[in-house]
Amino acid sequence: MTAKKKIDLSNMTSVIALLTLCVIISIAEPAFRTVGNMINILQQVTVIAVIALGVNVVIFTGGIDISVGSVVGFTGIVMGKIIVEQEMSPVIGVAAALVIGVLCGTFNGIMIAKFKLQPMIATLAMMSMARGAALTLADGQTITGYSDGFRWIGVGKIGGTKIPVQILFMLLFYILVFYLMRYRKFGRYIYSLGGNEEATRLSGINVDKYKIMAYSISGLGAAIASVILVAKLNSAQSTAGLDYEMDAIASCVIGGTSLLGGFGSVWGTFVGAVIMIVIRNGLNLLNVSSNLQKLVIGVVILLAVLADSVRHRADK
Amino acid sequence: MKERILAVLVVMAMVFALAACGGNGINETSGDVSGDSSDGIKIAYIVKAKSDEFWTTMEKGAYAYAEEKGVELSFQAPEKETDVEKQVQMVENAITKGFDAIILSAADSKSLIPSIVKANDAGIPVILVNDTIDEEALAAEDGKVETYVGIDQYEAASLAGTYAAENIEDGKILYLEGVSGVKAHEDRLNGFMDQVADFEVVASQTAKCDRNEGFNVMQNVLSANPEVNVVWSINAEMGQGAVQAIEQSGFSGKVQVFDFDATSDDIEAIKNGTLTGTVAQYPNLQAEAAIQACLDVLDGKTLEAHTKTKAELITAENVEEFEADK
Repeated sequence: MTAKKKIDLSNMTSVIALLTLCVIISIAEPAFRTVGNMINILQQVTVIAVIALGVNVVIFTGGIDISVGSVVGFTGIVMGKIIVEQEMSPVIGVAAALVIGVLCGTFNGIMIAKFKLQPMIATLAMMSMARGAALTLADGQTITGYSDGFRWIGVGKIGGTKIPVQILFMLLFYILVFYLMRYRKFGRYIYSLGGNEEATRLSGINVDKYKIMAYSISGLGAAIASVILVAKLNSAQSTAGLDYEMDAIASCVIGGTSLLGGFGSVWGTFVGAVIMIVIRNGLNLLNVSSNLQKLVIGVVILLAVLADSVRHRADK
Repeated sequence: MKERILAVLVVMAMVFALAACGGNGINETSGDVSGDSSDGIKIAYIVKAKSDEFWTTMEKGAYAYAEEKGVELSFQAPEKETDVEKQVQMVENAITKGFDAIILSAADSKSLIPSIVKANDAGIPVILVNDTIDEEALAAEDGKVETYVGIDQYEAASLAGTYAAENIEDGKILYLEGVSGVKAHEDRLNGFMDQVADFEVVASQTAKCDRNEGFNVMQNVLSANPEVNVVWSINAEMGQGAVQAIEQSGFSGKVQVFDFDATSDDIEAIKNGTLTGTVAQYPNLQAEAAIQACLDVLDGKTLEAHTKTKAELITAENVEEFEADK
């Protein structure tokens, strides 16, 4: 019960931070509060929000996944090769991307759960392998030229409105993960695993299985993000997703997830990702130099972690 | 038990995949060098990345010309253009391995200077290609490069700038900058900017040379400043991102985009009218000139400080000739 209360509290802090941020930017730059800009923000947030949620499931277990950015690049190239060069149906390409994403994650999970590798090390290896595979496969080429049907995933609008359909894909993934975390034993075990792995194991739960599943979900998130990205930009590149793991982890932290595991919420991650994008969007609108943008985002991450730490101390 | 077997199988598959990739890498780098052809000239060709068409075109051109001239070549690059530290290591390894000459496209205009000085001390000539470095800082360290092979970045960018100044009235421009500290990126920015002094600068932002960032920045700028009608992107990736954003935000035909590199995406975009102009810098010709420069230096010739190679603005008017030449 106390855990639930904490989650609500952490959600509120980030929501309040987001609202404050929006108010400040709106005053500085009126173009920020236009409907068009709000839609832009939603469109820009999908990729990072989807990756972040996958990573967050891993962080709930007390682990970390830094391979997601590379998995975005790798799955995108495989999909591009299948759809454009092999001229197969986009359905096969997307399915292949999702399967490969999940496999990369499962591989991470097996290394960590069965072979007892440190999550940071196992996913660091995957980060390098997946990027290397993407670079080798692509050989410096950008793979472009997709059908309109496929591109609809990234550029389509929901019938009659200006809302991009990619938001629906993001929502589907969030609802799926939310359902798993809230209403299935999966969620309870994941949190419990992050809270105290040994106790969870001793209570007879197959800890390894749930750990592997968590990494698989992270891989799936990266693959979904990759599909959206390729469809949006009409191109797959081997460098796609470079450094996205950092944005994803930052979103989790800003959204109130503790890197120690066992604590944090699904929707908090979304709010964290929106905060990241709103900062970038606002600074773009105000034409602030991007060197400064990095600085601002660093400060925000620091504040989020500080707030988290202060809250924990208050609880004790 | 079943899970364990599965896990072992997966590991074996991965190790095999790694070994396969590793094998390629070795062939490309030290494999060529370890041969005992003592009379053959060995050149280390170190660039900033191999992840886009510009570099792969240069790589292909370099290997083709090296084969023609009977030179052993090792073409290397770090994973990403911003990985300066890894590039420094590559140069130092090349010095240790005793290459006859080093061709370098410096990832940073200052950080590579100590490595160049080390090569000088080892008596290995250094030829710069595509990217210049901070010459004053190099002179201050008593370092020396034989020549810089490449286009004049400033002049090349000014080709696009001049075209924009002549063809666009009341320009309201967005600059998509590159990585700060990279001299070539700054020259490209200034080369264009100086030609369009009467354009109003709506925004000047970097999009980290990344396509998705280019898309996002373009979209953001359009919502704050819908009057923007010109974009100058100092590379093709950001330029292509901007083109996509313009199309998807319903600004098609209202914004003229110019970028740098003339990749196949750029050529496609020029043909369907979404890109107005792109500066071609013929990386294959640069590679040939750089290798030739190495041979000349090893022959005892002295080179000019700048070996200039060809650059051209490609627009709808000459895109077909450009493709035919390729």
